[in-house]
Amino acid sequence: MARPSSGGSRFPRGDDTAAPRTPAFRKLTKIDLAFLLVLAGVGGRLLLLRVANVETVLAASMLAGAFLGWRYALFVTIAVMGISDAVVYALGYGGELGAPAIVGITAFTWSGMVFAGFVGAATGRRRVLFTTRSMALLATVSVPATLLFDVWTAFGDWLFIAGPHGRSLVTVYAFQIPFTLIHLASSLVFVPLFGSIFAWLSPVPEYAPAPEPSEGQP
Amino acid sequence: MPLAERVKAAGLAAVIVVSAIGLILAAQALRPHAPALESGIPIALTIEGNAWTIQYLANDSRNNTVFLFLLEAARTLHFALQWSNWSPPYSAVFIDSINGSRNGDGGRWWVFWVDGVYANTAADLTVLHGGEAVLWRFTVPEGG
Repeated sequence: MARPSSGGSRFPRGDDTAAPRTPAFRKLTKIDLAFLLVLAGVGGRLLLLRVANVETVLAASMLAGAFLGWRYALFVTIAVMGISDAVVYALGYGGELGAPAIVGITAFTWSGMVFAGFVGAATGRRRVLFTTRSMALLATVSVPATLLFDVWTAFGDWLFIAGPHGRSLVTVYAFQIPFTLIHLASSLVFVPLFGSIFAWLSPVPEYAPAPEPSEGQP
Repeated sequence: MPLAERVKAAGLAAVIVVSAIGLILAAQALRPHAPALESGIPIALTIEGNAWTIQYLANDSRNNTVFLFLLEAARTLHFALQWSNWSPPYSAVFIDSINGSRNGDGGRWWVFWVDGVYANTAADLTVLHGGEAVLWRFTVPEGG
């Protein structure tokens, strides 16, 4: 009987006959994958820093949830946001906002990415495989994850930046629309792109259904 | 990978590329566009630095964004202006320095208001229609 994985991946249950796969199929461990996701998230965010709303953090968080489970989604998100935010603010970005606004926005962006990771984890309850179907599912789920993130962080923007300057929440959401469209395009590209790579690299279940015996053989 | 799976993968890639391009085009369509003016418009500009103030008034300017009008003032009054560009697909201008005062100097940053309203958009995306008073202020962020 297969043990349920911590990552929420579901292995065959019930009467499925299980047979061990060879170690060669296990390409990378969960920790390896988490490290690579952190690298992809941080590297992508910093490389695309001057491209508004095109980013790899949401993809990294979502895929961490989908492939590794909610605990890793939390870990990867916090690591990516912590490292990249430290670099971003050290470079002087966002200085015009002031410390209180930065702290407030940070709370919203980090928690928004954690939501995306949890959405990924919920998706990954049915095992994500290196198949077109799985990538289509991830790309589809990235749409509500991105919308959730943008609605949440725009609210944070209104609460800490625009609102105190007299802007209404409706105005903030109206200004947000083109940015959200670009963010959706970003997620639609990066989630299945990284998803394909990580699905190929991800560890296979320790147990998998044994092949059906061919007819006529003993 | 079997041929059928490859065909499905190519189909998915095509759907994603077309969707992404469509979303980016939609974002571009929603981007504020300054119309080409047939006649000039009046605009007033005040720039408040650390210990200096620049004032500029034009009655028939055709530079109808906050950035273009600031550029016009810099060229007319001969003060230095530095900016950086954010990359496409949603490119925008970010003002780095005016008249030698650079963002971050003494914890101060350049922010602007149009008719007393704090700007939520980049200077080149803030369209002016005529009669506005633009204020640039080199100020310590208030945290909101």
